Amino acid sequence: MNQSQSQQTSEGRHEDDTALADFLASLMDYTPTIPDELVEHYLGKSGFQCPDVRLIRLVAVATQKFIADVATDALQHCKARQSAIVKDKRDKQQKDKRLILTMDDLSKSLREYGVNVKHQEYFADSPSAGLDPASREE
Amino acid sequence: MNDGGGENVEDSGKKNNSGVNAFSQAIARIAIAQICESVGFQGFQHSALDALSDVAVRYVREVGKTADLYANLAGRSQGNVFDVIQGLEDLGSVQGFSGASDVNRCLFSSGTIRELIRHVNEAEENPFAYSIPGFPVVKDVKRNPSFVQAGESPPEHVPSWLPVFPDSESYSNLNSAEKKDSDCRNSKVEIVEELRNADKPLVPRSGLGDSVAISQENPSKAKRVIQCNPFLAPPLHFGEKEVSQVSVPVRLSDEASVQPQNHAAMENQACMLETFAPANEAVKTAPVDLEDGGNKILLNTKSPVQFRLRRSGKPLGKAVGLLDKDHEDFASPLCAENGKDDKKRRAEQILKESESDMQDLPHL
Repeated sequence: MNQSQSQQTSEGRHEDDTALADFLASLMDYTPTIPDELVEHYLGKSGFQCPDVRLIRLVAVATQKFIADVATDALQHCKARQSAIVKDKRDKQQKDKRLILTMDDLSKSLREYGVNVKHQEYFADSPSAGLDPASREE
Repeated sequence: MNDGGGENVEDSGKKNNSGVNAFSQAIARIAIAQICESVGFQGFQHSALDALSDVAVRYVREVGKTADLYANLAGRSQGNVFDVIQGLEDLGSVQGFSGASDVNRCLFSSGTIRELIRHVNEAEENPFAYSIPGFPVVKDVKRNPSFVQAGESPPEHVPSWLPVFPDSESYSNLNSAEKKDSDCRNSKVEIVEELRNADKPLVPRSGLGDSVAISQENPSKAKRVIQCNPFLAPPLHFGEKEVSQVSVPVRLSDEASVQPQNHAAMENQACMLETFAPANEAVKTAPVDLEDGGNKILLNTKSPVQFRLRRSGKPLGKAVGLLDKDHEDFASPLCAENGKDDKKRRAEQILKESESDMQDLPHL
């Protein structure tokens, strides 16, 4: 029983080993959204020295995943809030249909990831301000 | 795939100026905006984007910090995959990941890595919108070669490892500039001399027989005038002051063949002299005083008047011209002042020459 378990784990480890090696090799062909230079710059700033591109891309992919998770949560918050508003006022439906990353949603989603960000009470920031670069990028 | 290199990492810590920070923050903003867009957002508040990009940058730095910590804990200076995985696990411990409860787990089978693999497989590749150069750019400082490197033989008091002297043009130009400056000063002195020459005929025209000799003495005496402080000189007596006033009729009488009563004969002269009265007086006071046995007290008392007239009417160049080389220190600021209204002075000089010619005519 014990032997079979250990054999299974060793096989599993072997699989994981190959999986990790494959993953690292696949990172050579995968271009993360966060550029290598940026990650490399900040890693060097924090004292991490590494000449391997794959590790830098690993960090880049991890950061990308983290940000994507946070953004997905914020998007869910945004959608939920909009649906609640739509129930109250039908008039604003057209206006608020755009999915805009706001500080409220972001602080809510970031709190789940251990980051406490609070929206400034009297900080005026128009949600339409970010529309132009977004549409330009499209 | 020659993006990485990693050589810049060592140098990146040196330059911590705001330009690099602003640049990297701007790039982080763009990257985060791209990620948000791929998730499904259509727009964002600037403050939210700033906050999220700041969080992303902090995440990268935190991962680097913990990975470096684990590398150092293992006695290594350079990190490897396991350090990074452990760092990611540390940061993911708030959220939790599969297999975190297993103390003896292998890092290969880490839940974070599995999630990462899934994320990479699911999410479509969304490369960065712009191509960015490797930053921070470390400039190669080009230093001057030393005497040994340049193959030159230094002067005996200079060690050979010191950098070579700059090109000879760089400091020979300085010399020429100085020369030019001195030339300029010389030309000014020439102008001043010309001015003095233009003034000179006024003195012999006073008609005194020995005035030529006096005018030659004049510079040295006048120099003494400037040397002595006129305000410290003892006060004048009434009789001594009369001398300068007497001198004008003496001159006129001389020109009018020793007949002071003949006003009609000297009317033309008088009107001409009136226009030049201040200048004539300024010149004349000194020789006349010298005639009276070179009274120093008189000279001293007259000098303020002399000074003022020269300043207002005639250019300061005359006073400068009277000075010797010993007084160039005193003369140079005056020269500098004169330089401002060079044109004005030349115009005055031309005017004076023409007028002196006019005055010469009745003499002849």
